[in-house]
Amino acid sequence: MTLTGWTDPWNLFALTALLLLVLLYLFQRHARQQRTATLFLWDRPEAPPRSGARRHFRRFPPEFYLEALALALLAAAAAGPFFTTREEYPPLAVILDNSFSMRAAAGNGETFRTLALPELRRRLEKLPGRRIFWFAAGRAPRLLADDRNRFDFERAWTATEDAADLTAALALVRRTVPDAEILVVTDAPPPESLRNVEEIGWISAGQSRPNLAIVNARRGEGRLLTEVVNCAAVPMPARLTLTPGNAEHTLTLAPGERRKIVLRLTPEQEKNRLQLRLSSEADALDFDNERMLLPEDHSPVLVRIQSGLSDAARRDLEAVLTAATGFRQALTAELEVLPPGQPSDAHRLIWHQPVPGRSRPTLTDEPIILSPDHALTRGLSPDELHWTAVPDLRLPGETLISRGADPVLTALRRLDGKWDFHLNLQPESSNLARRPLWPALFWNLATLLRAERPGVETRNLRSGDLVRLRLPSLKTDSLRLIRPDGTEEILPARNGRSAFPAPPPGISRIEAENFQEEIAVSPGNPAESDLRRCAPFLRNGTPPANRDRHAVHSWSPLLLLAALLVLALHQVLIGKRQEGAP
Amino acid sequence: MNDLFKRTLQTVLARAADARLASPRTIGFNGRRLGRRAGNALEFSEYREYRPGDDLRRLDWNVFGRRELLMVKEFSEEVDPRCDLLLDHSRSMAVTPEKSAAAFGLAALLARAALNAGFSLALHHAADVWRKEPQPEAPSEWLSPEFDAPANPGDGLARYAGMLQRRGLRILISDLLWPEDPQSFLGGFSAGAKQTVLIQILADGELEPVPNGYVMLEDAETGEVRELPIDDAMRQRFRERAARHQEAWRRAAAEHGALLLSFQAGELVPDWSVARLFQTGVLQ
Repeated sequence: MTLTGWTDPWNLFALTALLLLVLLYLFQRHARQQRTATLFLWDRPEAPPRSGARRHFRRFPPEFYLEALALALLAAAAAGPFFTTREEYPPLAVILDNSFSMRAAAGNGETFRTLALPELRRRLEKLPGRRIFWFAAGRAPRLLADDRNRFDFERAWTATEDAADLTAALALVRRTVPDAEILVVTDAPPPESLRNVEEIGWISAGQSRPNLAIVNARRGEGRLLTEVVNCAAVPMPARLTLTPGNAEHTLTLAPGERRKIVLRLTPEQEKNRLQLRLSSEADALDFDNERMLLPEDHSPVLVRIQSGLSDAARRDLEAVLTAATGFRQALTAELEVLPPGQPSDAHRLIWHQPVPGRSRPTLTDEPIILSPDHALTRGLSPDELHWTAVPDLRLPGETLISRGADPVLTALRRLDGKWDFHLNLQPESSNLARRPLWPALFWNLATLLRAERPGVETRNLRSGDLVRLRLPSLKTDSLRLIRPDGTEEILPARNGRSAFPAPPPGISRIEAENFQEEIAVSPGNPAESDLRRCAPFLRNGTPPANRDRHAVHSWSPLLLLAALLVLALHQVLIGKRQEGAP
Repeated sequence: MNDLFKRTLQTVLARAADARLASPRTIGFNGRRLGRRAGNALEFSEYREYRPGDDLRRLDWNVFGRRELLMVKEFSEEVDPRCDLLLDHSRSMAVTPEKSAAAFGLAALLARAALNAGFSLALHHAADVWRKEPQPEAPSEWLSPEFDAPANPGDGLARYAGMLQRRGLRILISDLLWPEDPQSFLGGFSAGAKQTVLIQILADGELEPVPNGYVMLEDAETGEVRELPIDDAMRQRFRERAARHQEAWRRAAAEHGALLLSFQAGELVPDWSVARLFQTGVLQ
């Protein structure tokens, strides 16, 4: 496919000289007037004049047409026409700022995004047929399409991400299509690092506008913590509404003020999905004024203490399990505490106790060492611990706590995915149950085991967070993500687990075999909500300097040569006329 | 009457003081054949002494044999000759002031010469209407010295040919520049005339094509305007047509026994070099 175009199309305005030439011939180089008695001896026109008409249609002499042709050829040559093939001409890489600030209102029903569209279309139409690569700049850049076929960029340009890393997008462009001309479409002028990079074309239709935003919202037990910010140069009155319940909280924020607000939740509200909305008349961006918060699953871990444990062990266990550490004893349990050798399908806390006559537990002054990286030992302190354990007892799994060289607490993930925690402890001679380590250990255990339940680690996320979830079956190898806009994506799962970047803000649904879950993603980038940085900016980019492999063939030399030939012919014509003159 | 006409008239009348219009019989005699009208039956009037230029056929050899005197016979027409002088007043005669002055002056000269020779002169102003001049002897008092008629003599001949005297000398002063066939005009103009003289007055270079270039030509008589990009080929075609036009008049004049003389206006105005009129026997 051959592409044609003009390097400097504005030079075609030189064609207005044709009008001057016509005027010149009409008013200055007009025909010599001569009265004659011998008109009947001259050539007659091809068509007879109309009856009664005394004038024939005026024709310009051949010199006029040659002069006009020469002018047109010179103007065309100055405009720099060229042709090249689609494959040879540098492609265009368009980076679309996909952050939610592009949705800001710009007046008359327009947004920063829609205001940029006409200029974008104009630049795209400058060279029809040119290859175009589309990139979305969000938290992480991605290639949207290589426009070998028609691509509906307006539809793909969702503008829902909470940041636009243009630098990363430019790096991706340069890696993907190093010879491309680059065009950035955003809502602010180039940053300092790109201000003088003239090759990068830039379209910004942004405007400095006032904006209020919810930058943070978190559910706790019985309350909701939220944080709002005023990104304006003037005080902004606002109204904070929580539904269900329609609790309203009016406030006025000072310019630039960031305020934390705690709202108490009713028991009804605690169980339900919450919608938090910030309203203000002068607010330019609605996207960051709402938060959807789903109820998190903080139900206690069901635990069962099996028989076979010593009385002391059972006593210490029951004390800690009832101490609001996140456990509830039940017959059908997620965690079973039992002596070694007892099978179970649940997670197991296997308490190794001394076997009478076979092993004798000892208390040593060897240091108690805790693994700093494991979720189970996070925040634990071994201070003033007396740990009596059976010496030289080999425990399977990862050592989490050791006494000297002897592991006393290990963790092993079984083939069925469940945990086995091995505890080597003689409670009668130990003070573990009376130290802060003991309830903290079980708090960590409850947290870890809750995370092992099928479902997402947390239902309420922010843009840019990672969604981690466990599926009920280890055999499930894929899941379906349905985004707020209804689009779907199939994501992989392995060993019943999956992790993926948070979808666009809103309520998304995750579905798999025997599994369904909802998550709420909220935008939460104060920098993106601050529209005071936005301003219009336009710059034409240029193709990269390395044009060796881009054979752009100019028509200008041919047109110049043609103009010269026409002028030479013109001179010959004039010469002949002059020769013929008496 | 403009100054050029006045000066012309002054010069012409001075030149014409002694000029005499020649007899129709002698007009054109310079060794050439006189035409088909020789041998008309005329009434003998008197003898006169032979003058150089007289038709040798009119010598009376009997008188010579008897008296050794060369005497020519005068016929009644020569005793009372008639002359119709037709002046073309069409606009084409005024393409240049010199052309119109030449035509006017020549008419005045021939009128005076005719009167000097005793002709019964009728001067006709051939405009869109032919009008007979009441005072042909006083050119300064002629009816219409302007050349502004939209028609050429060919247009009015059919209607006004009856005004012309029979068996007289008919002289047309015109540029002969109209497209109609000269044969039909001359056939009518010379019918009943003893002799016909056509004096063509052309502006200097009038039959030369205009220089190359873009020209708007306006017909002096019809007002038709034609815009032409003149080039060499077009000029050549003009020359060829002009030559054919002149040849057509010459042929027609020859066939009708008319004398055709062409003058450039520059020959007549201001110096009035009219030797050819004498050489061809129009004046004596």
